[in-house]
Parts: sequence; C-alpha cells; structure tokens
Amino acid sequence: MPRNRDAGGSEHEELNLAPFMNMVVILIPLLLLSVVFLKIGVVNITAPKLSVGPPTDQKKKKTDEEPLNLTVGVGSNGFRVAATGAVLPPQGDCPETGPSICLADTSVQVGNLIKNSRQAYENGNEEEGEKLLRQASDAYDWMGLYNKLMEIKKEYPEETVINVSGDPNIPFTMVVRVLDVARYKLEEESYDNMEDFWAADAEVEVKGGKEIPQPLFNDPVLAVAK
Amino acid sequence: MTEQETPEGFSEEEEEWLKEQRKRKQRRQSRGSKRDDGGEGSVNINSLMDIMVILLVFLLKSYGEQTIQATGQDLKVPESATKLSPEDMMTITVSRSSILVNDEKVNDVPVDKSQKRGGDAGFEIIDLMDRLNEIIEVQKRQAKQMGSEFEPIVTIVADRSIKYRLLTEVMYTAGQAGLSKFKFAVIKSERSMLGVAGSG
Repeated sequence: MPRNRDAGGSEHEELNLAPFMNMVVILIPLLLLSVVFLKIGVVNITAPKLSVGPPTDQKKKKTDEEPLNLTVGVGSNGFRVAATGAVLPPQGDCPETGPSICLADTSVQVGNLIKNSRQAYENGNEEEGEKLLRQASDAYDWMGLYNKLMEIKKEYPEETVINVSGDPNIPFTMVVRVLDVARYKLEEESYDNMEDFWAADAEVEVKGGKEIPQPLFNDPVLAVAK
Repeated sequence: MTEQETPEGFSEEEEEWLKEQRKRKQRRQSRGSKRDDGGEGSVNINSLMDIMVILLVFLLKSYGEQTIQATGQDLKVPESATKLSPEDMMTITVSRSSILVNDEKVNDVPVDKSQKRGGDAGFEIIDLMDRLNEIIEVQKRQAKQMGSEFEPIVTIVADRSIKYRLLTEVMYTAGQAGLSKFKFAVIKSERSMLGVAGSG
C-alpha cells in the first residue's frame, strides 16, 4: 500500500496545465478577432503646390533644360496629360475635343458610376458602392497612360517628377492608381493587352545582389485642379 | 495451500466479508487501470498545446504591428502595389463621415462651408487647422527637449471614395499648419490584383 500511495503522489505532481489552457483558449479567439489580415503600406507624396509650408526637399536639377512639369489630370472622361505648358492632344481613337487619353471603354459613364457609388455608400450598402467604384476605375485606360508615360520618359530619362491632379469629384482611389501606374518601368515599353499589362512586373536592375525596380515617374506631387 | 485452506476455516460471515473485500480490491484495481489509460492515451494535449502556444505568439506579434488603423466604419483605404511600410507618426484620417487627427474626431464630412476659411471656395478647414497647430506645438516642444528636430511628416488615411477636392483641402490645411511631407496609407496588394478582379 505505501508504494501505491507514492506512485499516486508522483502522478499528481505533473504540471497542471488546465488553467494555462483556459487562458490560451480564450486569448486565441480574442486575438484572432482583433487581427486585421490586411497589410498596410504607404505611398509617399509631396504637398500640393499651393501650400506655403516649408519647401519640401525636392532635388533641384541643374540641367539647362526647362523642367518637364509633367502633369496628369484625372477627369471623369479620361486623363489629361500635359508637359511644359502644352496639353497633349487626344490620342488614338479618342474624340477630338476630349482628354489626351480617353476611357478604355468610352461607353461607360464614369461620372454616373461614381455618383451611384457614393449614393450606395450613403445608403449603407458598402459592397455595392465598392463594386461601382471598381467598375469606374476599370473603365480608365491605365495601359494607355503607362504607354504614354514611357514615351515621355524616353525623351526625358532624368525626369522623375509627376504632378497629379484630378477633378474635384474624382475618388481618391483613382489618384492612388495613377501613382501606381507611374511608379515603375515595367518589363516592356508598351502593352497592347490589359491582362499582360497588369500581370507585368517592374523592370529590375540587379545591384549588389539586390533587385532594384527602375523608376518611371516616382516622385509624385499633388496639385489642385482649377 | 494456505489460500485453499483458509475459506474452510472461516465462518460464513467471515467468508462473505472476505468476498466483499476481494470485490472491492478488484474494483479499485479496475478503476486504477482506467485512470492510467485516461492519462496516457485518450487525449494527448501536448501537441495541441504546441500549436496554441505558437499561434498565441504569432497573433501577439501581429497585434503589436498594426500602427495605423486603416479600416473601420466608413473607412477603407485604396489598394496599391507599393512596397513601403508605414511608420508610427501623426495621422489624419478622412473617412466618409468624419475627419480625425490621431484618431480623435475634429470635423464632419462633408465639411460645411461655415467650417472653412473663405466659405465654399476656401481650402482651409478651421477646426482641423487648430487641432494640427496644437499637436505640432506639443511635438515641437517634445522634440526640442529631446534634442532632435521636429519632422513635419503626416500619414493621411483616407477612404477610397472621398472626393479629390476634400483631399486637397485636408492637405492644404496640413501644409498651412507646417506639415510638408505626406504619406498616403494604402492596403498593400499585388499589382496583378489591381487589374484583373474587376474585369470579370
């Protein structure tokens, strides 16, 4: 009998994990609920030109060339591209009086989509609002914008500044998308297929074992449309 | 020999008592063996514990990482293929219903024209300006005490659907308050996701 008791005693001395388990089981669902599985990033941007804050540290270029002053304006019917004071005339099949780069699908009424999207948001229908916003964003000819920017880049290889502006009603997401398109050179100089364009990766230069993406116009300045 | 002999030597009462004792002993033994089985085989908690502890560490780590509140009611920041990560700094949040500085509400959206200097056509949002000035003042003083220089950077967390006009108003106001470097908070996304999802 005494032996038996000893054996029983040593069994009880094993670590009692129950309280710890309880804590862990409660903590894990709690943390799982609070975790946001979205990765947050940032996009650098310089202040609008009309601000009177201390000047931002833009590198002054010591070239004799006039600054390119490339400006991309986002409107509800396409992009207006302007440089050195002159606005680029409508390209390709775009209507004569329209913007430089018109919508990829000219039958889409982006203005209405945006309006309806805001309406949906206001009514509390976030899903619908987001869907409409997405449709509006997809109607733009991002590929055409990229092709044009690459053409300009070839003539001004040193230039990295791009002024981005938009009509007062344009949603913020379009502006960010313009910055995305203008940030890096892609593998090819121009694309004629939307799928290839979006699937493409940035052109990289290997330097010291590191892959460095080649900038296109990666120094955005936000400007205000008149 | 003795075992066989003993029952014969006992009276009936004693015999019954002995039988009872044996039964009890058997029961005890069977119970004991059951306990042993339960401890060793049926549920092995160790592996489960391993998973839980690893999960716990992982979740705690990602819990601390989130420096910017970028989604919430009336707020969903746009997607972008950027590679840069956010740092801990002052934030101006522009949701579909309000403007917040460091998660404290200062203005409603849309901004009423009485809230803007110069009325409808004005760019400066008065309340936002006042709050930013207060915060910058405090930060400048802190920076001075620390012997470092105040960095005029601010992260703008804006909903994807807000009007460009509102965005420029906020940035103009921040520029007036002395902030000159801006970062837009975005959801990191693969480049291929930007184009394909909506086309279907």
